Amino acid sequence: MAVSSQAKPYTVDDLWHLSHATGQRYELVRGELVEMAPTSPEHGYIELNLAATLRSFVREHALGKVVSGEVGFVLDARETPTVRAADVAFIATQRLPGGELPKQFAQFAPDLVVEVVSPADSYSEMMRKVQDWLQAGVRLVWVVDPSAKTVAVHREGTTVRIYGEEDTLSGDDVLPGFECKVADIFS
Amino acid sequence: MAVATEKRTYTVDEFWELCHQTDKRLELAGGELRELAPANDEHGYITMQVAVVVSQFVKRHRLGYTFAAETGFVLSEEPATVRAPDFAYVSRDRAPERWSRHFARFVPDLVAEVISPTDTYGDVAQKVQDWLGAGVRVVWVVDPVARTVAVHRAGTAVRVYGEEDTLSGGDVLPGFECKVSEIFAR
Repeated sequence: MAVSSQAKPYTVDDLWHLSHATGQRYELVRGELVEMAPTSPEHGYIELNLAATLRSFVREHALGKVVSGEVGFVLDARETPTVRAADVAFIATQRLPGGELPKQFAQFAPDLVVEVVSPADSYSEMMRKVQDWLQAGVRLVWVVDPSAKTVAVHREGTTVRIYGEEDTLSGDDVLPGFECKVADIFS
Repeated sequence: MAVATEKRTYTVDEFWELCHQTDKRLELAGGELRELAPANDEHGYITMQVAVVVSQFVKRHRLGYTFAAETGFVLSEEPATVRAPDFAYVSRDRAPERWSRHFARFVPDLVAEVISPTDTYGDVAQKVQDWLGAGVRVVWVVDPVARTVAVHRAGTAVRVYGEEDTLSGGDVLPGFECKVSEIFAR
């Protein structure tokens, strides 16, 4: 969930320092700070469920790293400073500079992003986020909706597709061989 | 806004009969009834803004036909889904030779949905999916609060246009352009 605050243009460095000085969590969206409220247990549970499933697959096949918990990725550092936070992200080894996880905001886009919808999230806000991820080079975005028990799959160059509880989510070419029943994400 | 009502499921024909026995505005999603509340003033105004600007363009270029809110379109027979978009446009190629005086059984080229304050992310996502799945070529999701239009075009990823942007008709309405701010201006 995002709560809009003031309109002063902030930089990526401002965000880093502010987050650490105040202990508050923000995203930076085109120079504007957007406060992030803590999530619900249901949100956290589903996030962890999917993160754990992804991590065991990624570890088993030594494909890269799965990170979770509003991890900051710098999508634009200059013109319209934007740092988006991912609920869950998969980063393929090739994308990790020196194969190491950064200790500050990541200066690259992950391969896969999972966003879990909170009750207060608006459709447009979520679509803006999906667009920001895709345009930054994320190959696959899953928007998980706990209320409808669905996952919307977004990719550049394809029509959005919604998978329901009876469907199986696939890793496509981003995580070849990965499969997960949508129902399992919510169980 | 849609409120789920009773649990039994309906066919398109049963739904047609029901709609003629009640004054309620209803939709049928996956065989289940959804009641549509009357729209708020801003919603109605913005829906009309979209309808006027697109209709003028369509008439001027004799491209096809445009439909007001409440027109029912059959998106699927089994399970029965009949949705009423806020606005729809169908090209002459896709339009039937004569009106059926029943729910539309043709697929619009363009559908616009204006978000209501009570619409959840999931409500809107499902509508978009239903339209695209039925073969609609482009869906505009107009958000009066964010003052944006999210454009879902078949075969491409979503793009969100803000007040400083211009909405284009692409290959669905070639040559059509409209400033997003114009839709929300009063």
